[in-house]
Amino acid sequence: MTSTPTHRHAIAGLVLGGLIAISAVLPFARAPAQAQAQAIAGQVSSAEEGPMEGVLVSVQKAGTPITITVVSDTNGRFRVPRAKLSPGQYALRIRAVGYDLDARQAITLPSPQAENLRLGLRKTEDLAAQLTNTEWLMSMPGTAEQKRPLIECMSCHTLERIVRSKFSAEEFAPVLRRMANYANNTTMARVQGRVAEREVADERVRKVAAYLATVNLSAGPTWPYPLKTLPRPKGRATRVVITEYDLPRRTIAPHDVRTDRDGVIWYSNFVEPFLGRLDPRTGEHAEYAVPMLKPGFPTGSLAMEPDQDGNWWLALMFQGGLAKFDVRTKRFEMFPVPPEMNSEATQQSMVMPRSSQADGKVWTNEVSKQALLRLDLASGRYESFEPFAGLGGGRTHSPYGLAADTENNLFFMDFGDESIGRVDAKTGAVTLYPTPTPRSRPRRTMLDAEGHLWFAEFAADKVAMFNVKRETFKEWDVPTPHTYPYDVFLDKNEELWSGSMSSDRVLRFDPETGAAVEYLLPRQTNIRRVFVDDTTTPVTFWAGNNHGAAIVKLEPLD
Amino acid sequence: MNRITRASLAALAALGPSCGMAGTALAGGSTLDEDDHHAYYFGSVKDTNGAAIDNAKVKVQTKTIALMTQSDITGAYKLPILAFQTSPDDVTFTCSKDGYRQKDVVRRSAPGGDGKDPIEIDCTLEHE
Repeated sequence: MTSTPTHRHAIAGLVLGGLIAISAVLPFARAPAQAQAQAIAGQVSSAEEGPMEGVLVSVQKAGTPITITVVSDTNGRFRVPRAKLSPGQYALRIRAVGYDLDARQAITLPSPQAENLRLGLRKTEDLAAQLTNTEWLMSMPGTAEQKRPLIECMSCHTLERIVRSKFSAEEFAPVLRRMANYANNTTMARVQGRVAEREVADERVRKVAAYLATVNLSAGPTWPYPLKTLPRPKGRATRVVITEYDLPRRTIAPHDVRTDRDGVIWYSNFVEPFLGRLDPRTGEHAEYAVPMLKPGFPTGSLAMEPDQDGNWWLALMFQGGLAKFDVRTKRFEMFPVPPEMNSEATQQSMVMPRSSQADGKVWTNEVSKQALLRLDLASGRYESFEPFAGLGGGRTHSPYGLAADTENNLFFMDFGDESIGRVDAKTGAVTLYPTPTPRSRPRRTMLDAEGHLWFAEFAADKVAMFNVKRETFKEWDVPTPHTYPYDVFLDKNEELWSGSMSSDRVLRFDPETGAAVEYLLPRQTNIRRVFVDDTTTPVTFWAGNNHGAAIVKLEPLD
Repeated sequence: MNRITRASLAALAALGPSCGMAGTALAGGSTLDEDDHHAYYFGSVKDTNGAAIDNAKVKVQTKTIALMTQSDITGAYKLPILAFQTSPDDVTFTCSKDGYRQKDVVRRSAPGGDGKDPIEIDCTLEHE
């Protein structure tokens, strides 16, 4: 354990000047006048199938950033509720893998046709453009070991980008080396390079490059394997309304998304130095500039967590440290990792301030050292814990998702490998519990009031629970292979929600009965942290579309 | 925990050097997820008649770290391995289950090797 004072106070004084960067009111649709309200409704069909169930129908009012999506039922019928609409022109689109809308569709409300639309679908001419990452992974030949490295790629871009390339194995090698030197917080809209260079082992590059050259277009104009698709939603999975709020810049990459006590959305921006705020009722969107700690280093934050006072903490990735945003004063207090502990590779992806009232301490991680850090709020010092220092076996570890119990004992996910860890707040003692499934790569987590730690096993395609008291695990397969769940959230009904960077689907799962519903989303949606607002009935699911500059709200109808 | 018994793990230190950091960077900025084989502890928990005991807690403990798991339906368990430098005197290996007490711990695999070989440690429990 090491201890070092921070330069917190000096930095804080420096940065408290420049605060709100951008504040904008978006031209949202306000609540419609009831007298004029009309639904947009009708039936979807195709020559091949007749009336079609499970077709997503999306409507977006001209000049607004809001898209409302509903799903057709077993008779092909869909209805966008009138409460979500107001007079004006709406563009329509659909999502049904294998199909396109046969003609451009728009409707201006009010209209005598609005509730009796006929949407005709025809077979698509470009199925590849419609595939999710999950469907690409299902389609590609190869072993699970060969496909496993590809789950890293989805952090920055879709797999479509890889399979449409024409690189030979030799040509792929320098591409892979280049990729390793982009920051984790990179999107196609905003690419950020690492400052500290990273080497990639030749053997590793050779293996991955050789495989990728067998699944792309290096050998010919089409893929040397059939493209497989997942079935459309059915039954309960069609009973949902999805609202997407487009953010005002394509570069905004919402990572962690949560509501506050007033139902206002806050989100961390993975690639830009802002904390975002969106009021879903009024459409007001604001961004608060996070002070720069390390100019020239990648910007953006990953984890965003509230403390007991409802203030937001951000883990500042390559900026090296933590930020606390006071929701009352709208000011940031900065907690940089001190120079002695701060290298070019320093990276804080996680923060856990939730039980800081217990001992005045906030947990974070130091990815470049496979370590945990603990910030003492009174002294401004960081302590370092190296939970894997006592281990051998040459395995790679990485403390990632964090949760704290009421005494601020820490639970952490070893995202590099396969264990759940615990650090005792008083003694610093570390206990590691390997998950029943090896190489599961547990990712993000939440601790419920019963002392159950719920988490996603990213590489194992499982969601899981660790009973803290009994020290036992339960694991459940997600319904669709190659989902790679990133996070889970247990709602007030004890149903588990999960999202993915791969499948464009939101999972709702009852651990008691094993019943699962997968809601398809209208667009390519790279989901990270998931959040469920328990104040509504039914509950409301929220997540960011990390690569799509949108906040996604999912309202199940049951 | 019924009783903590010092394990006979002296041979641990006789292992060859650990294979070190195998991490290699790949796209997405990860250095994770190599598929090389690695050392680990494994073994089984049995009663004095040789019958498998499931859901027994199995724990490897040093001053700085504890590794903990439970035996499965066949009595088998698997745990991450401690660093090569670990002094055997600092390590305790225990298994426990309500209604049982630990009888003995046997390390079966031969010492030596390249540090990548799994180490088998079996544990016997007897009814209280």
